[in-house]
Amino acid sequence: MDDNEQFSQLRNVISTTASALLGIENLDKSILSSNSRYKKILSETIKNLGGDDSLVKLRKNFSNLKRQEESHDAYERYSGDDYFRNQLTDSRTTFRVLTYLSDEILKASLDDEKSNHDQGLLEFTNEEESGTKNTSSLFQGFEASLPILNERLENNDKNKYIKNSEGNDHNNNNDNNDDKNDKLFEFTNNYISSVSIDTEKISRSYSMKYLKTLSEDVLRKLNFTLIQEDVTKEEVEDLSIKLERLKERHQSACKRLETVEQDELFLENALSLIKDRMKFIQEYDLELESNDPEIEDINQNEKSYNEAKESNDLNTSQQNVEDLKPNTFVNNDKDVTVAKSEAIVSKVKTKNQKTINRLQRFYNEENRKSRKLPTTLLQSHYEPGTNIATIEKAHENGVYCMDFDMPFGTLCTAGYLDHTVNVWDLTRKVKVAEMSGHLATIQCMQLGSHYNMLITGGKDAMLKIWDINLATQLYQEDQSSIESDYNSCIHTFDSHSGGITALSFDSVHLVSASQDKTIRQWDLVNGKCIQTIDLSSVVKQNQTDIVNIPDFYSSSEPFVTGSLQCFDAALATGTRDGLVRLWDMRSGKVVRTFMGHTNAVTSLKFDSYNLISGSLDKSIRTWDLRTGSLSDLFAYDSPVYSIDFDSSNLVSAIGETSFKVYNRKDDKQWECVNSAEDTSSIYHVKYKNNYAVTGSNDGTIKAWVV
Amino acid sequence: MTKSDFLPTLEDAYQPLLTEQLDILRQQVISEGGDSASLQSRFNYAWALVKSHDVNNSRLGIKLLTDIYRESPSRRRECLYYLTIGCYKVGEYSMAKRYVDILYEHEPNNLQIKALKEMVGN
Repeated sequence: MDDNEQFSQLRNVISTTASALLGIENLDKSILSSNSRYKKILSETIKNLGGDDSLVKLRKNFSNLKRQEESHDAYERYSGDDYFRNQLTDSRTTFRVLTYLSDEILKASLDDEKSNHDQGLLEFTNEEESGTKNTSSLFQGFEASLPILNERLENNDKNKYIKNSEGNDHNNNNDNNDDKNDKLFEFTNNYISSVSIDTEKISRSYSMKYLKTLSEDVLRKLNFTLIQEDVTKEEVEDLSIKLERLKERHQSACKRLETVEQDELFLENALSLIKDRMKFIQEYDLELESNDPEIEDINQNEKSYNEAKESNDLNTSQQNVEDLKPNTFVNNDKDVTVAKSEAIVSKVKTKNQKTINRLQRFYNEENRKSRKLPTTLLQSHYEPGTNIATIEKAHENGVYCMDFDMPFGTLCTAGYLDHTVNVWDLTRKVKVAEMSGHLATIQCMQLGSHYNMLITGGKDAMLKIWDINLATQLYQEDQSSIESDYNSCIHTFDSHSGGITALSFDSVHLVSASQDKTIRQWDLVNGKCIQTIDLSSVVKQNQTDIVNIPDFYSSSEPFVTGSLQCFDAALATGTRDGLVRLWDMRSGKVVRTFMGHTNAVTSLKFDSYNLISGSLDKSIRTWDLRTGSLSDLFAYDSPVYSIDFDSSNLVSAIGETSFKVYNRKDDKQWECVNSAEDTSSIYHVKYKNNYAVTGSNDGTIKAWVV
Repeated sequence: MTKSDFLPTLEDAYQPLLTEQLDILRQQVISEGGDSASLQSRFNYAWALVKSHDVNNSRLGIKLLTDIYRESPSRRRECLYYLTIGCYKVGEYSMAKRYVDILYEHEPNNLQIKALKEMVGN
């Protein structure tokens, strides 16, 4: 049977059903009697539909049709004809179905309005007598908008005339689209134009009649404008409510994005852990037939029986226990037990393991950073200049140095005269760890990009490598008894004879600069000093005027080496004599010198094209690495203490309440202004991916979107 | 029309607007975002449709009015009035009667509703 025929029958059924349901008053009860048209059509249809296939097909077609209908927007239709026309029923029935209001809604309206009796909109008799200002009705709004409508029509005619006279053959559709925007604009304009009245005529006229009609006219117009005022007011209120709601939605969506991104990271971590574990099992061929942990225990017991015979088995079982470690990353609850088992393991292994061993052991998969940069960056959803997070009083005496791994990631800070490193979670804005071990102020630090580690250099001439995961665990355990013999400090480099002022490391090497006028290069794996560069012959005593360095910057004179950065065999140093030098680490010789700064260099960083340095001479200089020439220069009112940059932005801290941002793409400079009540000066800034963290002299840390 | 009444009379519904006017009102609603357009714009278009000579246009108008009725409880009484007029106009007397009865039940002292009820009753 043909689809169309099926449809027509189905249509009949539905339309009759609908009219039976809706038009009880109109149709007598006969429709349900045996020989009524309804029954006849129904039975005919059912008979003809036949097999299951046709029913399914029909349903499919029908649902398609439905979907099409739903997508029809009432406003897109040019006329009612279009809107109500469909294949299934006649337009009257469709209309009835679409406009049917259930008794509940009608009743509900009564109840609603009873409770809001004061706002009863139809009580015009009362309203007029009492003279209280009530909101105007929709109809009044409609009437008021009519004159505007007419005027607009006239304008449109004029426009059309003009357009036609220009002889342009406009595509109708384009025309409509263009007009749409114009019309909104016109609409607002017309409110003004509708009030135009010739005042000169009034002052000249002596005819009472004319004035009377005019006054009526004006009164009417006044009436209209009053109503228009009402209508517009209401619209404004309506829109502001909508805006509020949209704002809320925007916020909640942002929050959702945040949690989703965190979940994503968490899951990725879990995945990498699983992969690691699988790799481990494959590597040592430890796969068991069953996953049941009890059996695993039994197996281990068996192994312990064989222990005496084969010493190899001991190792594997130990490794088994050791391998529980990765779990710590996933589940905090497990941390305690795992950490304890770790402690036990460490006790078992005890003192025959040297610290160097510990350093080497650190470089395994589990301490590798499994967090990758999220693909969607949350900070891009904020306006530049927004303060995202504030940590008050992070350090008693001001922030002395800091580093963070990624936006909304981990931040490490150290304060002046504060011998501990604090670790913060930038998303939750809470302290997650505290690491102590240095004997003096920590003057420089860097977070590892491959492993979850931090290297700090202190005034006590020591460099320390820290295990952040372990530190976090220990902090959660609230520094229990284990702490004393299980420190989060993995290794200490102790060869310098003066305070460490700058350090930098990549995957293999660590380079540190000290007040003893040496630069040392260390092997990160075996912890040994590979190379020492003596600067005393190179860097002469600086003759430039001493800049007034705040007390906060403890030393009365600037550091010998204010900043350095290494990359592979390349090393850049910024020293007290205002020179920036490029070294070849293989030869230990200077390959290029950038001259220009007239005072000590405090901060520098290079990428593949540029080297940017900030100095106490109140300037920031951008150097071209290939030609060795100065490519850009910024001069400020105060000494530059800290800079950081990437390809898009350069941020700098100059000891003021705000910090400077220079957009390298748009060539624009702006200031990221702190809130008025915060009068602390920003001395330190770190920046990554449009996300900056600043540290102030009162110990406040703030995170910004740049 | 010297003074704008609070509510339209039945006659108002029989004075159609120009198709150009109707079109402008429709464009207004669309430019404000269809369903999310302001109440007044939507009403303007709906009422203009009700006033139209074309039965189906009036029906579409009533449909839009019912939407407004559903969405804004504060305008319900008013909308019921417009709906009554609209339904009366397109010949849906039973629907009109249903609406006006509820209106009357709520405001028995209202002259305009009384008059409308009588008209619908006939």
